[in-house]
Amino acid sequence: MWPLLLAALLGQAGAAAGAPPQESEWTGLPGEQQAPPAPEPSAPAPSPSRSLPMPPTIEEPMLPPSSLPLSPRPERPNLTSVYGVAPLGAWKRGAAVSLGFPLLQARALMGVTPKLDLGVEYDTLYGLMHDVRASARWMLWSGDTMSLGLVGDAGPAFYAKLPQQDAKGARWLTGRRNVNATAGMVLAVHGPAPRASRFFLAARCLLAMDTEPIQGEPLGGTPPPVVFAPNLLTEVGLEAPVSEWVSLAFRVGLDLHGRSEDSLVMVTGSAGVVTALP
Amino acid sequence: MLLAACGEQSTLYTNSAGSLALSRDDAFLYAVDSDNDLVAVVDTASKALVTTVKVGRAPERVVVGADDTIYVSNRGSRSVSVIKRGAGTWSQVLQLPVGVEPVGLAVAPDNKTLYVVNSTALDSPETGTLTAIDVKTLQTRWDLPVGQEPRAVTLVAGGRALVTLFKRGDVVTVDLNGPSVLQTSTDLYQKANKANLENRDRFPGTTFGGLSTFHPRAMSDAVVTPDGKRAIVSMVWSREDSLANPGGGGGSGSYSGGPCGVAGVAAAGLATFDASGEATVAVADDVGQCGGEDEQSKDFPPTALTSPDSIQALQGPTVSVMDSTGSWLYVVNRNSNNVAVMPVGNRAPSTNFNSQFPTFRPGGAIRSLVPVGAGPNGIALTRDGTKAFVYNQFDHSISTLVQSGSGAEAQVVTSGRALQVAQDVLSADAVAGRRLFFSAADTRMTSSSTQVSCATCHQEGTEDGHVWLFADGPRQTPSLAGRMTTATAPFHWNGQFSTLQDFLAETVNVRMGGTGASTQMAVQLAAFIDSQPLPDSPLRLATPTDAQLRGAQAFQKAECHTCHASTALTDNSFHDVGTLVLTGPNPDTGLPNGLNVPSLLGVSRTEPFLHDGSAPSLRDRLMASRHNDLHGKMTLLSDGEVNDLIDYLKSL
Repeated sequence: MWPLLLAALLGQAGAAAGAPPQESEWTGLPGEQQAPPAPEPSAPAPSPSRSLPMPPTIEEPMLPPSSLPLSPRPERPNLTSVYGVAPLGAWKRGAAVSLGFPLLQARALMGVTPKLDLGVEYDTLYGLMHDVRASARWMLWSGDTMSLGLVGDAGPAFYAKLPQQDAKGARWLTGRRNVNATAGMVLAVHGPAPRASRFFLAARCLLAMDTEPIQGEPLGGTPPPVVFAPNLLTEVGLEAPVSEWVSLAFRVGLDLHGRSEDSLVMVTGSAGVVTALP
Repeated sequence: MLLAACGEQSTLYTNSAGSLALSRDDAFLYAVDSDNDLVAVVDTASKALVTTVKVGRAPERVVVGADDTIYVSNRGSRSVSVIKRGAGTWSQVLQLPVGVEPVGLAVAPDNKTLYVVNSTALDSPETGTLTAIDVKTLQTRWDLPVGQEPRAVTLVAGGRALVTLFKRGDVVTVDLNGPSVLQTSTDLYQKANKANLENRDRFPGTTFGGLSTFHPRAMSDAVVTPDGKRAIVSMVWSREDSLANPGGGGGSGSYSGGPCGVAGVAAAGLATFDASGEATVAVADDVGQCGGEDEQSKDFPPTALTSPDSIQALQGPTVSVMDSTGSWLYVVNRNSNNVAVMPVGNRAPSTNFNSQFPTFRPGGAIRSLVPVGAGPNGIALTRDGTKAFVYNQFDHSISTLVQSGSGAEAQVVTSGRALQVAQDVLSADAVAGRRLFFSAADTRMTSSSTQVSCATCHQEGTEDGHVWLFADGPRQTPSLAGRMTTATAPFHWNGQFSTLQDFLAETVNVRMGGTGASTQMAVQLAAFIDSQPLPDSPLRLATPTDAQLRGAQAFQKAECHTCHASTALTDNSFHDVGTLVLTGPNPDTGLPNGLNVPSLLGVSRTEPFLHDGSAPSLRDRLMASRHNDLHGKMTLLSDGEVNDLIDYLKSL
């Protein structure tokens, strides 16, 4: 994963190493000379016989227009980030789908202010758990190559199995329960190129609310009606644009679960696509 | 799949079962002692006996209402005791008259209705009833026939109740709002014996060693999950094919060959029922196909239970309870004197027993098998989920269970010494004999690989309604209660044992695999057997009806009394009354003089009738021989006299 992330990051950065083309380069023909400035009215006219351009010679054939060596069209920037920090902008939309372990995830965001995005998220443990959440992202600070944001989400989760039947199942894998809320920060790093990859690092606290706690061990005590459990979710990843509208996303993470019934540590990983919605 | 977003916790949950219950504040424990006709009140904090409250005869079960009123079913006096708790005092305020031999109790979550299960109706021994009593007025609202020999009632979701039928081994679904019986039976038998029934159809006449069919019997109790959608019932699986065939258990003694490698021909079991839909359906293993790749994924306890270790037996599940989150089930086993603790919603093998049961035999799901006192038949869990109390009926003592260890290694163990709350009132021989009679753990009586007791078939000292296919023919379990049994030698249907000692030498030593019953043990067993009262019958009246009096005359007229003679209503001799099974895969053999005449005492509660169980009712029996004189001179009786004779027999 890391070599992939690095290669993607470096590749994009290399492509963007040159200075961005000027507007005149885009509109002009290759090899076309700038027209000489108009002569001052007071200056004498040049001799016609000396100023007429010569027709092309056989040694220098004229290329057909289609094969003229045009300068590369400057890339339109891909600024649509779902996993990172950069806000989408007012009323602009972005979405992401990822496949991984342990979750299959889908997210959709829409900018409501220049710095605030709202959205919905759906995570599923391949049918064993369905987690639907409302989410928000707020950009706290943005510099030339880094930005910092606050993220949060909350919503209910639905499980295919009762807790009594789910000893090493969705709850154990994810640390989630009936209602889950996360809050955390995301640090994003990106290059200056319009399609530079966006590297991000996220740390979030997951508060899982268990409305159907079970007695884990016989005569181990009756749990309270609702049990809250804190979890720490960490994640690093990359959004690597492949076009103006689409980026590939790669993420790996480490979840630390705060409940003894759950796995203590769970490694996560996913690959997916981020796209701007028209 | 079931999607569960939020916990659905109904108020149908109960934290006690059988002879034990806790007050609403868990401060006091109420233990019902059948021998002493009392309820013992115990302070749970100090573990001290506070007082005793005298109730009716042979009290069996106890429940506590939401207002802390205590209800006790008095099996021997057709009543329910109502006990009120005051400031440090408890007093019986009333004995409500109910049906015959009341056993099961339940209080509605709204505390408005008390439900009582009566073993028989007041007007018929052939069906039991469910009675609803208004808690406020203590008046009977309704009394609904529910089937033969019902025992327990548990309230389930949708305003319904499940009632267990003890001998038939099934549950009846009742609409409490009707009231009406919604469903008289389930698919438990078919589902549990699926593979072997298919084999029977595919290969008729062929015997499959170890692939026997088993009938559920002795369905004594039911416990419901906290959401009210599933019920788990304690019962026994009794083998149906010929005991001459090799069984699957590999145990010693001819009584081996239980389901799923369980040694005994009658094995402890649990039946899980899904009551969430319109129809109650069984959620059962195929007892002929135990184990398998998907064993762990099943979301209910094992259908056939086997001991997780080689030391303790597991037999005679009587009552059970689960914790308030529906995670752990505690099954009280009267015949093996222990409590089995297992998950409710899955059967992941306990880490402790994994190495012994790598193939996920049913025993692998049992986390702990906790030894308690003798004859346990009640359990209660504290509401904080940290303690369980068990009432040991034969010891008159209360054991306390707690957790030991933590995490996946946590076990349940007994804590301290059991608290004695009452004393023996039976003779010393009867007390010892009762322990022997019920014990599937005493190596003198049974082997560890057979694990059956006398009470495994003679359930509650009577019978299980099962017909066992012995090598010499079919043999229905005869009742032993109140029949002057020891005075009716020779014993067994074929009368092959002239003394009880001879009988024990064969049955205990050879069939059950015990090391040997001594003369003293024979005396003790005899003392207990003869101490048992005759099961109650609603038609056993102080003043016989005219029909019964005419029936007594018909009994003489048909010369029934010549064989069913004297006080015990048997002449202890042999007669061929045309009921021998001469054909089929398991015919009677070695009966040149016919069968040993059974006693008719209490006959109305011993259905099915005849040695092969071929007569489901007394009428069926009499009508089958109506036109010949092989079984009494029935041709001499008019139809009216036959009806009178039936009434008379029901009064015995």
